[in-house]
Amino acid sequence: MGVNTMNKKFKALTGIVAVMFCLGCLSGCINKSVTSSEVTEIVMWSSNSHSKKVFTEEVGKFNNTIGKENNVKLTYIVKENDLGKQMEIALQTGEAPDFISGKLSTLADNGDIIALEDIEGGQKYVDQYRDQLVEDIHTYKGKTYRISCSVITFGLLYNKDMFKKAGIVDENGEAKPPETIAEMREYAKKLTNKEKKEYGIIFPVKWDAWVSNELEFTAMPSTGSIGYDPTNGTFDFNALKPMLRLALDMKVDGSVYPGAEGTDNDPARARFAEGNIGMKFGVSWDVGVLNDQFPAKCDWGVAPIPVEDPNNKYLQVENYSLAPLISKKAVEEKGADKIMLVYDWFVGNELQSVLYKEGMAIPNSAEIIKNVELNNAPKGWKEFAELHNISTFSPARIATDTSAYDSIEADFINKVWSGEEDLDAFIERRNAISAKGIELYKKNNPEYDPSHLIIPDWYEKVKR
Amino acid sequence: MSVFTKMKHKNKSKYLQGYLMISPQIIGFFVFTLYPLVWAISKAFYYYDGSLLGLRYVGIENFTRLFASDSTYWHTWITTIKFSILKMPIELTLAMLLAIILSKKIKGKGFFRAVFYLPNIISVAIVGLIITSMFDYFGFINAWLMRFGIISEEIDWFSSEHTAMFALVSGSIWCTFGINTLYFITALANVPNEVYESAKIDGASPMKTFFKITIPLTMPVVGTIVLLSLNGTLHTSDYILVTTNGAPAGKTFTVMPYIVSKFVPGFANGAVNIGYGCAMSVVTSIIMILIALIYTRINKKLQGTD
Repeated sequence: MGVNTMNKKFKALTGIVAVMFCLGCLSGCINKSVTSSEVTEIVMWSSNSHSKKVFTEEVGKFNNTIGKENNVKLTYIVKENDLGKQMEIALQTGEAPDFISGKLSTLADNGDIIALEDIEGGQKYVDQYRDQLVEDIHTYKGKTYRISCSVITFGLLYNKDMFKKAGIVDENGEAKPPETIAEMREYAKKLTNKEKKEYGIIFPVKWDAWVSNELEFTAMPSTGSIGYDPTNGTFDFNALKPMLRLALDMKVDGSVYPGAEGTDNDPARARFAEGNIGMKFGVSWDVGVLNDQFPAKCDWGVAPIPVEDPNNKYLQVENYSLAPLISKKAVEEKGADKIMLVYDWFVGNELQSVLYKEGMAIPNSAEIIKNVELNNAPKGWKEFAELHNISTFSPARIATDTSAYDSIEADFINKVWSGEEDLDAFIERRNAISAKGIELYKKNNPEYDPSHLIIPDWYEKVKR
Repeated sequence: MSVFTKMKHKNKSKYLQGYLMISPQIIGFFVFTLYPLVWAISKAFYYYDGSLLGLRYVGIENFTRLFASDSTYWHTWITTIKFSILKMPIELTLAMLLAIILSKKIKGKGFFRAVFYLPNIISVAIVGLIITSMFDYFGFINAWLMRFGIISEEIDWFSSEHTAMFALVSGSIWCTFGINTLYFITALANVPNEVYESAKIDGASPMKTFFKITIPLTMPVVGTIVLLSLNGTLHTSDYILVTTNGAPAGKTFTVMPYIVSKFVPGFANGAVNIGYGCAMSVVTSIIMILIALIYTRINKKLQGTD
């Protein structure tokens, strides 16, 4: 083969590689959201893989009914890995879906989202959920960007079999969960039998959200606060003391399943499901876990969070499952009417009722919980849903700058749980850090006005 | 067209083809390496919480805080050095010994090479899960230690720094010794057989052969293997995040997982000062470069090529 022929082939190969490379670079520029002349496609992303099957069915029904009548097609995509990261990249490349999720303040400042007040048909939701709107979660700088159409409740999972075996029963012989913190410690001790590898409680200390979910939120029914006092905009972590003290006491008693420092939440739930753990703090999403992911081998129940003083108790914390944020670009390109058609369906009572019946989401509407019959609901679902009646959202906190310090959660594990620091000294130190943090934030942001976050009658509002 | 012009044209054409072929790599370098590097260095002088309104120039404040008051960061460096000192000698010695055995004519050599390399291709997340399960309070390790009467009560491996470090180092060695074994096998393959034969004829013992022939002749490649191992060990991050996540009480955090878990949005809890994380990354990179330079200098001196 001559040199000239070789050179020609080499040039051809180089050309092909260069063209392929350019096509690869430009492939991201192709607009995937194809809109035919008649049907408008609306795209929604979600990270909820556990409700994928139900949503796929409901989206199909929407597209065949309401969507068809209005020439709208909803494309619902479940993103399995790190939705937040994918959303960030999509926003930067202009490929974001029509409904967005992410940090509210960032998206609002960047002009990526539109307020409900500024879109036709959105004001009704602002009026409906006005009492539940939390700054920086639902609202930002006076505008409402999202609502909570469903909630996540917190409760105490308890192993009924172990309770009955230990004789912790009521007058009907049914397992009796603890109502007070003192009872919880006592029961945990009674349920512990090291020879049989049975323990009163399990703590997933390795889990990043252990302290916040299982020790901070659970302090609210006892003290009315999770460390932040909204009546005066200050931090007082003495409010967490009952629960932090309980965790430390149970550790000293030997009631905590050993190896807590290396236990993440999934293994902790799996161990509870095995039937040798008496109690575990749980969240309503644990219903799916204990019925499908790690089917429980024991009879278990859900109880309200124990309190310090049953004569002086407050509402429990519940978290909000948020409706998506509406993309400003989507409204401009596809029209407010099409976008709101999908939004109305997503947050509407019909879909929320279906999700509730299927055990996928607890609606924010007490009316739905009351009126919907749960015939085949998964075990524990009704109990978690009923906790909505004694729960409320925690208030938005005044802004602080404590970035120079570890988070209180990490600090508790590193210093107090490990035995290095006394609990009272820890609380005093963290109060001082938060106070400094408030001052530092004010100094660096002199225009910041937190007066709208003050709720003078907070404790009266949340008293049970 | 003169011959000279024809040649010049041909060379130009060859250069163009060459640049076109390497252009994807160069563009990738600029986009995915150089740009993020410059971005991180620039953000090191800012307070940045991810929001445009939260971006504030702070000068060298991040660096001042890092050197003057962040003892946790420097403690992670101590943990990193401890981790490296515990891991590398055992891992490299084991890899070298296995390489020597696998370089000989033994049955099933290929199978053993594949088996030893296998942990290296398992996902780090799976390795972390395996190690966590094995060293669980009621796990495999405790069960067998009790069965053989080595311990009378289970060890809570992740409740103390020393036992947690032992679990981490064991898992890390298991994960990476295979690739080092293959590197050593390659190094040993470059030693001519005639040298070993001459040594045998001269009556040299296996130990003498190893120290006087094998080590000196493989030293240049071994130096590179050690550098790669050192680099990999210092950068260990995902494995520690998955296995202990710093437990107990952040004491097993080496420098990389510490930065990721505290200052990378998505990994860290709550609002983070990304600018401070960038400053930390800049300082960490400089320290790692210094370590590599010091090692290279020592290695050259040992090889007598300085």
